[in-house]
Amino acid sequence: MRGAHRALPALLLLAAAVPLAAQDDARLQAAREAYFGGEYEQALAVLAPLTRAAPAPEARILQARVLAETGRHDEALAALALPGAAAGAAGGSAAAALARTRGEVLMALGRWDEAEAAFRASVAGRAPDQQVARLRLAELDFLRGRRAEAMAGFDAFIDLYNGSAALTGEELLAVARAVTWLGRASSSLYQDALRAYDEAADALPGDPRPRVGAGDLFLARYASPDAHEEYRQVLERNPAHPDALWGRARAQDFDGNPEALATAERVLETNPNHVGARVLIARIHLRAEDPERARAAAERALSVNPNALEALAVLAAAHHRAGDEAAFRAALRRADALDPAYPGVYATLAEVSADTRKYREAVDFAREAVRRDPQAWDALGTLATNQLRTGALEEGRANMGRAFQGDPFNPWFKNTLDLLDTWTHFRVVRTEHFEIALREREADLLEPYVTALAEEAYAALAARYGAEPPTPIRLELYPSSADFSVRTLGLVGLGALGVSFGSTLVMDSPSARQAGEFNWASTLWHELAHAFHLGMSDHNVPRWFSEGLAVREQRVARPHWGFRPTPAFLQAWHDGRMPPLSRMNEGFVRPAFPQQVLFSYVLASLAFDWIEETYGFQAIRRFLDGYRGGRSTEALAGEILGLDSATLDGTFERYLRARFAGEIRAVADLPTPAPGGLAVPGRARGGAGAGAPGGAADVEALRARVRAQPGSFPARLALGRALLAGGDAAGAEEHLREALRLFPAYPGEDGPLRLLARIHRERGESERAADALRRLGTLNENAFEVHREEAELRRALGEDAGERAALTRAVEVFPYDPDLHERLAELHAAAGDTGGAVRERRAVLALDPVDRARAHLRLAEALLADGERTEARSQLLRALEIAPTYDEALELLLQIRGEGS
Amino acid sequence: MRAAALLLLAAAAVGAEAQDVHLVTVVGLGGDPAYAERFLEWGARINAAARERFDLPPERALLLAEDPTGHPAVAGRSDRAGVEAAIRGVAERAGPRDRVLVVLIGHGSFRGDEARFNLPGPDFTAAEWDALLARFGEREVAVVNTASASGPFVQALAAPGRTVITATRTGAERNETQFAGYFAEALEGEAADLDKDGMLSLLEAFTYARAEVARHYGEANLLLTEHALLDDNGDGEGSEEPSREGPDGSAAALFRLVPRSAYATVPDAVGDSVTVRLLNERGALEAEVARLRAARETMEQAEYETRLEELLVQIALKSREIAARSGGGGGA
Repeated sequence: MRGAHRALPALLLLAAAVPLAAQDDARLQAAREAYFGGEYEQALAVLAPLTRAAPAPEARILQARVLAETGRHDEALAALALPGAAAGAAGGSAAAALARTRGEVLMALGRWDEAEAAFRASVAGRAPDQQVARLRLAELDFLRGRRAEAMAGFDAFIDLYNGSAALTGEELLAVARAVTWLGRASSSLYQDALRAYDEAADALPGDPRPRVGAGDLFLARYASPDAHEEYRQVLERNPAHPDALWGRARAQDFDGNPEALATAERVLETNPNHVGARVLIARIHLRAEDPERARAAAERALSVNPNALEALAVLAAAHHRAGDEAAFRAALRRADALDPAYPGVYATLAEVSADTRKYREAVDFAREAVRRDPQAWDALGTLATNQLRTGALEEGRANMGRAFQGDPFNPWFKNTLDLLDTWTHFRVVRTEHFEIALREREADLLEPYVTALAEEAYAALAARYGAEPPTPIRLELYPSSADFSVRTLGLVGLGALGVSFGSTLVMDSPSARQAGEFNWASTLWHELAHAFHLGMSDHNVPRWFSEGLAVREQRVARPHWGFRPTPAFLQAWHDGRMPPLSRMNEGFVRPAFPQQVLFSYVLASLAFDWIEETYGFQAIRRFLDGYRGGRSTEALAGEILGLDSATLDGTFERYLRARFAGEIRAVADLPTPAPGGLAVPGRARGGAGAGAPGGAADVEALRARVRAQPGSFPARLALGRALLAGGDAAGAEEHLREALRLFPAYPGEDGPLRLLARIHRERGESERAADALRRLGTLNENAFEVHREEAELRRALGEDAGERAALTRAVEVFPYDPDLHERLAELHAAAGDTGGAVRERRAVLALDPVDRARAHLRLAEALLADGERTEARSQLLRALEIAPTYDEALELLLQIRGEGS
Repeated sequence: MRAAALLLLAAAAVGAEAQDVHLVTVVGLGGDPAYAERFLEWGARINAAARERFDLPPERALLLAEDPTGHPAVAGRSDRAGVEAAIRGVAERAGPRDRVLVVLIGHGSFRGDEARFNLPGPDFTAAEWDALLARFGEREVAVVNTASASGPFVQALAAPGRTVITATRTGAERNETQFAGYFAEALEGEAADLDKDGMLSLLEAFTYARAEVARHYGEANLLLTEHALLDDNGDGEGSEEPSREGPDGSAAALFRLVPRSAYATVPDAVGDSVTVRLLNERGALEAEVARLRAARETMEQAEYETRLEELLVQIALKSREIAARSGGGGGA
């Protein structure tokens, strides 16, 4: 209203100086300017005098647009109803002129029959905008499932465009929309649609609709930056424009930007009845595994437009996710009654099923969506993606190819097909329970380790759970994290290390990351544990349960595997920034801060420490059985543990407080971590004290802090590090030992154990240095350099067994260093482990050493020692093929043939 | 000792004219003390390996450096005059069938169409090096330019009977190179004797250094910024992976350095016509192995392995006989 007061005096001045018709034009223009600028109330105030008695169709249409855009649909319809006097005078033509806009408002409310009648009246009355009415009639046909009629209607706009010398802006907008619809069948038409939007923008200066339309078109073509730019131009003039904000929200959602929800909610500030925004909000809630909020948002949308099929789709999915079968079926029936060919309900169900790891169900839903509409390319892509996840590789590949033909702009489809093309470079190795795909160039190296570990893990988990997932389990290892990401999501950028789709496991190969960045064996074990959990629960296990239990399985397998509590984690938990056990899923699906997902893994795994220690492993098994039956965590906790949610949370909290009482005291004074950073560095490679503050002033400040907080782990560690950097090893040792006492299981490579190892090493206390490194190695699954350094020390000490164990752990983290395999082979052979020696000699050869003749010979020797005479001969021939006068190899050849000297 | 080396030496001793190797190692301008020290260390290692492992006398293993007093092995300054004098001296001293190996260690540059190896004072361009090398006439010459931006030397120096090795593929690879260090390593130990014949060929030294350079960059998580080339067929097109089977590599495989250890038993072998006969018979068997390898694609695997094994057993038995006669005991 403030804007209206500013503008009205100018209009009054105008009225005194110009004729009446010109005054009306000026008012109309002023109203239009106010509307384009988002001054909705001002626009209505300017328009009011124009429509009071006169038909003034142009003013009424603008009035209705303002009202509809702000969610006041009933008032919009009233504005479009001619008053008695006006209806009498020039009623026929005026009513026809208003009919199209009236139809559009009715359409937005789902009153399709009335809308159709209005559009037909527009056409029959030869209204100036009758072409727009024709477009809407075709759209109504489409919404009602009359696809052929709809497409014929859209097709007429091609002739309209080609056969007309000059089209109005409204007609160009209609052409753009019609051609967009036609683009479903012929993707090249999208360029024509874009051109029509550009021409409409020229014809309708300042009107936001062409820009919003172009933005929507870009977004439909996955060109998010271009879409953002179109929306930005509109929002620059009207920051509250509902459709542009909605577009921005969808583009943000496409980008994976969590601000999408807030942007969508901003739409509702201007237009609380914006169905599209409500549907987007519902979808976001559904993805975050919050079906109740999703249902509420969808129902709110349906209260505006009961025929909004997108809202019905989310509603059906929300009911399905919540397990309300009757309501789910009712929503399906409702959608079917509106449009039996509408694929969106099943496509949405497929997406939600995939989001909640029910991949076979996703396949079934997506297949139904495609059956209803074979041109539903998104649904076909969803079908293909989930077929590829569930082992239907050939069908998935074929469907992905078809989806790409239909929608060649889709980056998911293209990325996935490109990835599938690389499968020709993979070797598939079959074991008793697995089908393992390894990139050919590293298959020789990895095969022995991966096959052995996969079968070991399978046997261990099968014994522990007393159940087995469907086999064969397909395990794919990608040397490129980008390929792993595409295999998982269709796009690059996934930060995870591995993913389990049930009996399909996909993960980074050890070469995908630098040495010490991750532990492939631990990751494999984790993902395989998921396969058991998903199989046993029929994919009903909640994410927190499966993730936490999988981390616990890592620790059960090898004590040094899996995430463990860090100071930052304990601080977050102590400060109440982690959800209670009964709401643990929120930490995974709706993280409140960036590190909460990682911390949730730790916290959930500790819950299983507690459950197994307190109630035994059978309790965990009973949970999985219960999930299979569709039971909730709350119900199962009551039944299996005898605890309601409040008691469950309280009991677990007491367990944690008791278990980590000392550590919590030692880190309680940590400053709140900056975004993305730990209050105490978690790990710094090679960071044995390097880079720490060492100036006298720093040291004094740190001493003062220690005096004030003698029980503070970070204070002790910082002082110890600073003293060491300043050359005071003795002083440093005192504080580092105290830090170690305060937080004995600190897993970071920048912690007291690594620094103490350095002190001992520099003093020549090799055994103590090695022991410190060994202890650190039991706390950190990625500690490649720690294991390697320990092995060096053990070698110098002549401790073959210790060296062998350390090298085995190093190779487990990063198997690409030939020197480690070479030494390990020698140690295995010396210890009589002929099989181990063969494995390591094979690894050396697989790493393509420059001296291949020697590598073949050493493998031949190892094989001979292991009793593999035939293969030993073969390897020997490979050596001599390269080096026919290789004395050692020739001698061994004679020995093998029984012609020894 | 390796019988193949013995064969070579014995053959030379019983009739063929001796083929000595002359080494000229030129350590160029360091520019920075750290570089100067590293370049000199590499050059000194190559020189030491030539003298100690391959038994080259001082006059056949010349080391030139920026600072003639920087290392006891340095024979002169590596400026234009020093290099010219050294080349002239070798050309005068070397026999007509002798071989010359020139190793350049330092920085290189490439501007316009002109590649240079940086010396104290004015540089020599690649074309000027070509003119210098022409002084060796028909002798077999190998040039190893380990400098940055050395790639254009391949085309500039290519000639029949000449092997050219560069540390980089082009003049645009301007970063500091590691090739020289690993080339020195190849000369120092047995690890680069990839065919285990007791000798080190330039092809083996190149293959070893190239692989170790790649490993060096991989372990340091760095992009490989030097791609070594070898050209020995005179076409000016270097190969990144030369081999005996060509197009580049066959001549470099025959440019061999024989370690001092191989000489120890030569007198016995040379004086024994039976040993010489055995060596020749064994050489013939090796040639048969080479022919069999070439025909491998046309044969069944089992048949190939059977025939290969038969030949290898004969070689092994010959080796035993040779070893027994040259005092090496019963081992092959």
